[in-house]
Amino acid sequence: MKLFIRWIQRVYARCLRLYPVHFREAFGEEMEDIFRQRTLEKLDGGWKVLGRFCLHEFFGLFISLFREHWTKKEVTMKRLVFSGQGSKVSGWGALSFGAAFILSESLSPPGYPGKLEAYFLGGLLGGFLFALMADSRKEIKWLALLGSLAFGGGHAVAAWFLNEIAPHLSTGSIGMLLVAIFLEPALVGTLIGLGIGILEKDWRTGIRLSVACALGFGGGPMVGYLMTVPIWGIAQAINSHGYTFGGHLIPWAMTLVNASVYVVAGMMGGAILGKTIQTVDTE
Amino acid sequence: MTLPDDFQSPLPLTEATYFILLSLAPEPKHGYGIMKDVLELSQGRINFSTGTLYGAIKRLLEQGWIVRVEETVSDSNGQMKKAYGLTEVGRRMLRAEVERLNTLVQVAQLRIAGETA
Repeated sequence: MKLFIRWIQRVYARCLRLYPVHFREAFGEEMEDIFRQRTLEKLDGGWKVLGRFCLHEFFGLFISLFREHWTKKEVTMKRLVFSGQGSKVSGWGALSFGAAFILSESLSPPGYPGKLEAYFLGGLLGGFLFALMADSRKEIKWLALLGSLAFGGGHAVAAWFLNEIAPHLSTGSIGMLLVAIFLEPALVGTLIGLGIGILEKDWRTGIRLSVACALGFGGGPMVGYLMTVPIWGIAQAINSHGYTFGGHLIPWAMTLVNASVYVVAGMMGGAILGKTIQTVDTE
Repeated sequence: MTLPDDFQSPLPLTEATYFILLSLAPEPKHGYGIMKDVLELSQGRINFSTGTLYGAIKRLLEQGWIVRVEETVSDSNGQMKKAYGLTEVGRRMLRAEVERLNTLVQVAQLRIAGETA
């Protein structure tokens, strides 16, 4: 039983590391001491008493963990932008903007201009999800609107450029492809960055964010294609060697390629957005 | 007695908060001391886990109702531990809650006395 107690004390100490840093630093040592003391007191009570105690303690610990992390997430957009929470924005960007891209592309036929309303709708979802994850409930409507305008506007401008201007440029087919992949997400990122600057009434931050997001979102699809085209290539190779399931794999591989491109765009865009926010905050 | 406006909004206190403040009323205590005292005061109804207790302590510290005392108190093993004490605001909050509860009990007793008469 003493062996078990020593082990459970170690487990408890490890679980304490799951708390937010400030909470751990303030109370971690005391909590560990108390748990240690209380487990030793339960030695005489037998396994039943010890088991009940451990269940009670760990249940309370996980409830408290959830609560501490949840209250920590309650930040307004202003605090989010200037509080050094930039690294978390990456994950939120990946999920929300990735979902936005996927929805827009799913609802719209391929090519430009496609259905503009699909992009406005996708952007609305992206902005809404981002605000929810950042727990920016006060700014939820502005972020949703910003997302909608960024996605719809970015797609509209990209469509105009690719249909009206690009054919007159001697970029060649590779150049056209690169423009098509890079331009729209870059425009979306630019508009998001500018929009945040307007929301925060800070034009300098807005310009920095727009440049950063243009690179982040624009570079995302290229990275996404590089990561996932090999999967499509493998499916093609399987199919060409006469394995019939390869034929079924190809459409799935293409879907994966297209979907992941935008998730990566969201991830990179979010990461660059978060990194820029962190940099702005520490200056 | 009319409660001051600034004390009305946080009332009623949760049982956990009430008993923590009550436990600290006579003297500062460390976390384990609070835990044992609350268990006794509540006649076994409130058995804090360590996580729950320190979550509550953290919120009370943020609200300014309790404070970490500079001197640490020695526990039964002779080890020095950090202690918590009531602030003036915390003490007034506790008194306001006790008064609120007294009022409730008085109203109930009058009503019951009226029914049995």
